[in-house]
Amino acid sequence: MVLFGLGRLFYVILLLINAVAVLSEERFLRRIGLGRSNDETPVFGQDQNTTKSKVVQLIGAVQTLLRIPLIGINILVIVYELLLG
Amino acid sequence: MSALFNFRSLLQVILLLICSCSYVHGQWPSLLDRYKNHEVLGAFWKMARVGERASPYVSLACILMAISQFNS
Repeated sequence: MVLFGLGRLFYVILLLINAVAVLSEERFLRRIGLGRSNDETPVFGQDQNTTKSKVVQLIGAVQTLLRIPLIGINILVIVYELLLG
Repeated sequence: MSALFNFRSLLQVILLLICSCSYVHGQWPSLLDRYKNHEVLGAFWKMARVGERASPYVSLACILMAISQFNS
């Protein structure tokens, strides 16, 4: 990578975001009680402030927001690694 | 081609492939289901299936890879 430290940091961040985004909702998250539908139904428009609901919201947001861009970024990184190592 | 001969880079490439295949399968299922029984392209469907079924282990592997990338 061109920028030595930042390239490594980029890989680390990419892998960590991937680690959150692969967790499948219906097979894993719902079983351990972190699924979005498993969340105690909040009162209309009111945010819950427990840690668990924050984690659930974070995982859900990452999955809905970042999955489609991650496809492209992953494929770019794969092609880069295969061609230039 | 050096990613194929360096074990850690190969592992990283496989992990990223599993991740992106499972995203593609979640988003557009017919794209990968079409090649389910294909000899070569069926591998992508298999990787998508691995990413769906074994997602906690894939996620753990991603975190471990990030840690090892961070330390090296």
